[in-house]
Amino acid sequence: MDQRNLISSIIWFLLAAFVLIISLSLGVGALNNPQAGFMPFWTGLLVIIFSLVLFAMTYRKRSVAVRWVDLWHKVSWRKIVVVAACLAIYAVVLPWAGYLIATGVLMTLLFRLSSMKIWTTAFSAALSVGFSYGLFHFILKTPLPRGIWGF
Amino acid sequence: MDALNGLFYGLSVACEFHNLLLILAGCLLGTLVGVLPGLGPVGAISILLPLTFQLPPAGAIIMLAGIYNGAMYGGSTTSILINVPGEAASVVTCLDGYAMARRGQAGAALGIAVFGSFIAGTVGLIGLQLVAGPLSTLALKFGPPEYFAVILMGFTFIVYLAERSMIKAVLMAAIGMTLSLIGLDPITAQQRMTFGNIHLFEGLSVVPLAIGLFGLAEVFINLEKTASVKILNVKVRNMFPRKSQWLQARWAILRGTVIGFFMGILPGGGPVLSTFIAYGVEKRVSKHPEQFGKGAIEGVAAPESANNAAASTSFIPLMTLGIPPNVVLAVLFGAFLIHGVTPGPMMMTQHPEIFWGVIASMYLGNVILLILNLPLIPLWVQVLRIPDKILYPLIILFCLIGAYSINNSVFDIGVMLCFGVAGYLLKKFDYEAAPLILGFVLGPMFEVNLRRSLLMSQGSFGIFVERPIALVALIVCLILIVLPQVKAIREMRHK
Repeated sequence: MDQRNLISSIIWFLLAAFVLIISLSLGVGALNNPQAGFMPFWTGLLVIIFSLVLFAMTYRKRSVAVRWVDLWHKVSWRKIVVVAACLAIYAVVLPWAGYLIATGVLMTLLFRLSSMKIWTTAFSAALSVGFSYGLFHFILKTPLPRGIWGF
Repeated sequence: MDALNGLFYGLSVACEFHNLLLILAGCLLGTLVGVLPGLGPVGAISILLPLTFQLPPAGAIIMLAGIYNGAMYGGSTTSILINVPGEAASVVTCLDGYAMARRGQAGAALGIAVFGSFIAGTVGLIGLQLVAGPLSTLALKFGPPEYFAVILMGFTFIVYLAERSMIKAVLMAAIGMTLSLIGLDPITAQQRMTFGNIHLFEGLSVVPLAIGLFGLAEVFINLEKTASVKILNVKVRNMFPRKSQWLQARWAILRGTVIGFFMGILPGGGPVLSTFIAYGVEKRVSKHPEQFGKGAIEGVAAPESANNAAASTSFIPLMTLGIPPNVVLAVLFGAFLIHGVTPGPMMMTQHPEIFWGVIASMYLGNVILLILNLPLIPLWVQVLRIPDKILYPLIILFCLIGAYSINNSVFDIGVMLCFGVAGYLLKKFDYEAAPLILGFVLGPMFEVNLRRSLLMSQGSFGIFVERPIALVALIVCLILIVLPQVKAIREMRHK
């Protein structure tokens, strides 16, 4: 059976159940006076029903065998984990480091992850940060974060 | 203002020097991003949207329309040259376009794609211009029940026309709608699912969500690949198709245009579906169907024409009813709101310079794309040759700036990242992200109109049956729900 569908339907079920509980605490109201919890209740219920349908249909269709571990076979998933982690750290440090420093470090890491040589990495990072800063800050007047250093 | 006077007014807006520059910039940038495999018009609009923030609303939307058109043109280049669609609406073009390129006819394939797109796009715009006025007048008679029923019909179409599983499409649409409920309740102003986070009081923004789902997720999908894409090493020459090729393709262009024209208006239909239908029709009516998939020029002309006709007519429901019929226009809808313009029946009277200016700019954009794209194809080929190790970090950088500059908020970068990872996982688990974003954009309108209707009718659903437009829309929904079940029962009986 398709393990992807089984896993995903369980996840949707749990998330929808959570939404349902929140909607009840908000108050669903009545048809002639729907309250804040009205729509979350019904969308949550819809997700629960269809996730159960998906689970049941997948469970019955055992002829199609897709294992979820096969999704990560022969692909560079670790690269994605590293990139996502870099972006998460970037989001945290950006307000105090400022755009230039935070983005410079990020771009250096991203280019280095692509197996670029060190000098090419440094040059590419400097060029991309400089170009983007020039374009967005000076030409398009987009306020980019300055950080605690003031630039 | 009638259609012809409106067009002249629109041309006077679009032909202002700064707007002409914006059309040119939008078309070029849109083509540039559209050429990059996988990013497509949604990615292009999401990533390039920050470039428009400092522009006046008319100029910004004109540029975004140019980006959209450019991205549609750009998608066919990668389909033909590397057998990787630039976006979903160019998938079918790969079948015969790449085969033609391998036979040394890349130029003819690219040329017919560009010319077919121009002809079909222009016809679509004429339709938009003629239909928009009467439809806007009709839409002024819409009340909450009519809007609710039409949006419900839109959701039903989206599910019915889902490329893969209908159940998964329903799940995605419902999850998208649930995400749209985060924030303050529109009627009672109660906090919903904000968990006390001040950034969530106004709900999630569509742009970081779209950048994450369609931009960052696509980068992740490409990063995990261990093999790089091979570009066909052909000389692209003779981009004007020969007379015999024109004669071969002329009916395909016409049929593709008609199919795309009507599919574009349908919610959930749009450019993607129109290309599959146009290709299928051409194969069926062809005297040599065995040639399809091996380099039949009709196999390029029909889907590319359908694609661009649909791209034009899909503006009709957006600009007249305020209902985006597909995922690209859902993101464009968000862009309209960011610039303080609410698409809908009042747009024609409240913002005529934007309404007619956008239509006129799309005519001009079509001409610009025709004139520029043919000589610039060698440049786009060079863009494709940019190594991934340079390209993807740059795309990530643009995604970051795009997400941040909406509200100058680091929180939006977090949202983009979360949905980037979610979008990546959705692709791995074989879900389509398009119904999710449509559910997200249409969700607030759906909720407000449903609750208002129930308040008006004191809780009775009869209000949807008493109003003719709402009733027709609900009947269409019923037919779309029942049809697949009838088909399934017939198939079971056959077995």
